[in-house]
Amino acid sequence: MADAIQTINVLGFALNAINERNQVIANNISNENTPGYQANVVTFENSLASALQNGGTASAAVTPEGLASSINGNNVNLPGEMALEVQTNLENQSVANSLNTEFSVLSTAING
Amino acid sequence: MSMFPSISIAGSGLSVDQTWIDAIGGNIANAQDTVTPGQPVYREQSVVAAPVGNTSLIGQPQAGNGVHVQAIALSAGKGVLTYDPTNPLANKQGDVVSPNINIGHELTSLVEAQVNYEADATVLQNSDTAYKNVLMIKA
Repeated sequence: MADAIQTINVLGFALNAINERNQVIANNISNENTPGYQANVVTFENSLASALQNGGTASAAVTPEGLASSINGNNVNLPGEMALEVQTNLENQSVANSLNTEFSVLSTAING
Repeated sequence: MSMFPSISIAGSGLSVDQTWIDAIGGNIANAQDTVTPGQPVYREQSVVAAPVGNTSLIGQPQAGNGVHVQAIALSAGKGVLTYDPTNPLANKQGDVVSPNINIGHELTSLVEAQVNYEADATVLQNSDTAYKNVLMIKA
């Protein structure tokens, strides 16, 4: 039981972080032509892995992507962001599916 | 902040791109304008975009809230003097003034704006699917 709850917590955290990543990517893409705009990325995988291994709390961080800027000070890489967006959506779908499976297993255990 | 931020962020991008396309449309439509020298002539419009709210331009990066049109800048507006004595608007010397609009530049910007529009539309669609996946989670 404790294991199932932990799995649900971990999946919930991942879902949140993936949604935030999706938001950051949407923001990067919508600012594709904003002078001086610097693209950001969301990282959480390493933090989550280390929290699962060693205990502690995992966190998602927004950090600058740090690519070279073009002449107007903008460093959004549109094809890269689009690819990342598709990838993030697939991650989102797999986590959502896993959560559904977890819940249906629990539901079967409770209701028979 | 909206409940489904990615959708509103992509929407803000779409509306900036739309404004951009409108400005280009105005520039191209007015490229052939002529006025008597000394009269105000059409000035090329350019859209200035800026991130919404707290941005990565200053301080700690955040997830962000999209983009908006900060201003529509107008070119200096001197125009170019052309000799066209048959034009009813020509002055005594036979000169008229036309806006200084470079069609090549306008059309290049139009393609750029369209690509951005497409990208934002795709993000909007994908975010919609992503949020729906989450909404479908049930016990």
